[in-house]
Amino acid sequence: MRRRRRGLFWFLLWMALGAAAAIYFFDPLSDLIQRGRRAAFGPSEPGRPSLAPTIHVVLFFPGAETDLLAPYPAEVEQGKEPVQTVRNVLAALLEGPKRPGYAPAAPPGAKLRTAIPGPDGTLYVDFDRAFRAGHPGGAWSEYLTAHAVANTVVFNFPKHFEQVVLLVEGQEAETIAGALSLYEPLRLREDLVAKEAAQPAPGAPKPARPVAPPAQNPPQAPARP
Amino acid sequence: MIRLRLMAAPAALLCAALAWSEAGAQAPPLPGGSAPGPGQKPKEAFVLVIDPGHGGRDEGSKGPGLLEKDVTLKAARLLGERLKRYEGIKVVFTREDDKELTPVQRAAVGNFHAASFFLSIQADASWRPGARGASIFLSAPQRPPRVEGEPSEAMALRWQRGQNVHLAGSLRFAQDLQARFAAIPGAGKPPILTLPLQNLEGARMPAAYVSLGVISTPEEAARLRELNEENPYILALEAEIARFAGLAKPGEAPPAPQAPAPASPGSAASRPGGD
Repeated sequence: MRRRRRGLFWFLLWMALGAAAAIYFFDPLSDLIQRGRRAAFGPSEPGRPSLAPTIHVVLFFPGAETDLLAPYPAEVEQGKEPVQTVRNVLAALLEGPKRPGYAPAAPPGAKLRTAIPGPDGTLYVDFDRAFRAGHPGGAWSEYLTAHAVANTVVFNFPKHFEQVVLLVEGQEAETIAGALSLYEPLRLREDLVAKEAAQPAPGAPKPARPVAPPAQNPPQAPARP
Repeated sequence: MIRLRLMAAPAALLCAALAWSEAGAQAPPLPGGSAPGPGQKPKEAFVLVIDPGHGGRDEGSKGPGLLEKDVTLKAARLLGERLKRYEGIKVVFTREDDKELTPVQRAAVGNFHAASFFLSIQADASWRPGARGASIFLSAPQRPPRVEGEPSEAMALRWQRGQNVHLAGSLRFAQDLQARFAAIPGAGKPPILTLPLQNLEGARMPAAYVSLGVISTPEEAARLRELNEENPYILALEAEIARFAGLAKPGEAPPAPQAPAPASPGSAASRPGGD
């Protein structure tokens, strides 16, 4: 009788361990749990306990007091693959800044449909139609929105992505709100980043590394100082 | 150091643009692009194409009770009326009513008329509450992919990149207009910025994209709502176009020809005075 009980105990223990391993390693299930957790708690912010492994990243938002982008340290959940992490990073960018000193990079309600790696270090980032419809317009605002996305991707994932192509509803976006031409892929633009702009929140992580020099680009627009 | 780098980058790019543009001037004549050669009949008129931004379903940016497409059309009409009084200027509009055009169609109007200058009139918008002031934009010089050869020739090969070989003229116009806007009381010095702009890239003549203000800022919207033919921005545009065309205001002596302005970092990328 005692032996049967011990056997049952070990059987249940192994079953429990097996179930935990399946939940952890089985992607769709893991994603489902992460999505549920995000829906319940929102994305990770510095100082908030996270159930999933997180990484420190730098998002780029337009500064509230400047016509340039301002670095915004944040913490996001790490995906199994880099592209999953990129999607989390872009979702955090679309949610907008939670601290003062920054302006949104994209219209409220704009959603990321997907992000797909392509050849030559290109990442195709596909937004829903709200990304375009809710944009205030203006050539410079469009430019900052486009490079908020590109800088955020290329700065945080330099080994994986060198340039970004924006899509809207699965099609190449020729423009965001009618002025800017998005004919060329977007690369990291260090010169669009304000060096003395918004201050990180107390206790927030410092950027993982200094901003890298821009990649070898074809001639591009000079920065709005 | 950072400021120096910020200023050096645009200066270097604009110098490159100037160099390519000058090189482009020696290339074979392009439709609507180069001056008439010896023995050719010179153009009888300075053809100005005014492009009021947006139109139709494309309302552009929105301000309090104000749509960008209406502001740009009103400003274009006011400017056009003033410029029609000059004998040497022929004014063509890309749209004269609430019509929707693609950016390529807009540039095509300029190319079809072999325009001497293409002026796009716009307003800006921003999520930043304090944004204000006019801005002057030029098309960013871009090398077309997969085309080999000399840069100027390579850039001219792509029809949609026709603006590349006219950037020097565009920059001269922008620098002079910047000085005129800066002289408007309370206006501040507008920045000159280069961006990849849809409606300018294919314009095969000097061209500029002029934003008259930030429509999303209530005070700016109020200013834009009150546009009239004596508006200082309209007058500044009129004066600069007349200078660029080598014409004087009716009843005045024609302006002396000016030397090309150098592309200095301060003038090419200065901060909006109001910000």
